[in-house]
Amino acid sequence: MCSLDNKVVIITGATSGIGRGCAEAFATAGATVVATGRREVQGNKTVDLIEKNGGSANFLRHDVTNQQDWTNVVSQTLEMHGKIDVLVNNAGDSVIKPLEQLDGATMKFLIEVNLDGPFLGIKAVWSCMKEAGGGVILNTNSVAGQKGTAVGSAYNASKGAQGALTKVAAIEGAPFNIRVNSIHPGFILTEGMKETLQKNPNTLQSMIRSMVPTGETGRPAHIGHAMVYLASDAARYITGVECNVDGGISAA
Amino acid sequence: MGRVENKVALVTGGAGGIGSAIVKLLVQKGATVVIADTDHNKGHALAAEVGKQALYLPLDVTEENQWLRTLETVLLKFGQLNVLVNNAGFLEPSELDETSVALWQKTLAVNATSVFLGCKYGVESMKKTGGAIVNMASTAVPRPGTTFLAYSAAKAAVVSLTKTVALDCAHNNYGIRCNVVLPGAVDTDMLRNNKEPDQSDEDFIGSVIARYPMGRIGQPEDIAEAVLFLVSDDSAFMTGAELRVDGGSTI
Repeated sequence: MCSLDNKVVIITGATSGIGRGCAEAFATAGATVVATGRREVQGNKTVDLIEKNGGSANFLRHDVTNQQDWTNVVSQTLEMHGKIDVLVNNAGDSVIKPLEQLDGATMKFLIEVNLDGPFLGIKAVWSCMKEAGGGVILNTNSVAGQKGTAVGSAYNASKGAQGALTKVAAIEGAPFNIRVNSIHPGFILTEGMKETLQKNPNTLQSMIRSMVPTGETGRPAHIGHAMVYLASDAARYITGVECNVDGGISAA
Repeated sequence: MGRVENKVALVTGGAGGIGSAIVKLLVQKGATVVIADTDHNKGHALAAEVGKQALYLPLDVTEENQWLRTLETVLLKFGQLNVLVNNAGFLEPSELDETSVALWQKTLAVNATSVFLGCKYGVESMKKTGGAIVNMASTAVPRPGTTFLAYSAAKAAVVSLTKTVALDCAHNNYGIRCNVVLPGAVDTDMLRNNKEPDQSDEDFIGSVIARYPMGRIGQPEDIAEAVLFLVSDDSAFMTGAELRVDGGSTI
């Protein structure tokens, strides 16, 4: 992996799944990780796992839809670590339901978490990254943000919107050396995915089999490694891109 | 970044601007690299500069029997091939009314047919051990403009080929991933050869970067790092993917 020695990275939704995988990858690469999320027990477990592996991390309680929480996370990170080099807007949620069963409240909820959350995050770190001469923002998107699928309209819509936000942020950030990219995971086997598989076994299993050319789900570490590369100096010329980590779904 | 310790890699156009950066970085990260090119002087010089982890083999990427011969030599000498970088390319700008059939065919041959041959025989060579293929396309694919008619079309073919090869390898469980890099303007001879005779270097580069939000053109090392990422285990769940390395010029 690339080196992120001495970098300070905030990762939202780092209490489990992809967020935890990314937090671990960033810590292994040498970064100081500020793991955030709503669940303190899970968040502290992420920190434990990182510290047991010789890495450096702390947990901050954080609801990404809450403006004040963002202000607190940024100011506490600056107080503890002096800077913010990378923000990973990873926190997100999904609801898999056909249009007929989907209600307005669910749409509103998903837009809030998956779009408003990253929007508030970008705004929260923007001025300190500008002052510092640059930074990197990585948004966890999804293949669902790029292509239509049979179910998940509200989720897909929220991720598609997040993708558009990423692109504008990349253009506006470029003169200040703030790079903004989105990562598009395919099916990643997390605790959340396992739960969804149990609740909707036929739907999800058949989706995986029919959509993923390699026939396999990915691991959170796969996303983590891609994020580490994109956050590093090795990717200094990469901004505004969609990086698919999906076992070939987007090619099929 | 990522490690390619003990891997054997073949880089076509390995003696060129981007190619030599790829060769050097892969060697630095532990690979043995075959530099395949038609510029024998540059190829030998690069191999000498890099040292014993690099070898130059002449290869005209448009010739099927040369691919067969080169891959056979690689397998005989090193026992395996794990990484193939189809980087060789050719660019002669021309608009619709200026593009002769000969130029069209040459551009397609060096940029696209070469990648087809490389993938076809590269996969044959790699399917027992698994591996990674990276093809070189260009931001001319999403933004063809009018000046690079044949080049843009050929690079679009490379993107399509990449995805088909990725799917084919996945369905057949070869353990071979195939991805494509789309560089924007990179500071190489190939780019600078497009300068008008009476234009200064500064003006030329200035005219290029006008479209680049990051305000600069790329360096060969930027492309090399993307290739390294895509051939290493750091991208183990990526196949059939496009990675743009273009300073934001195609957002």
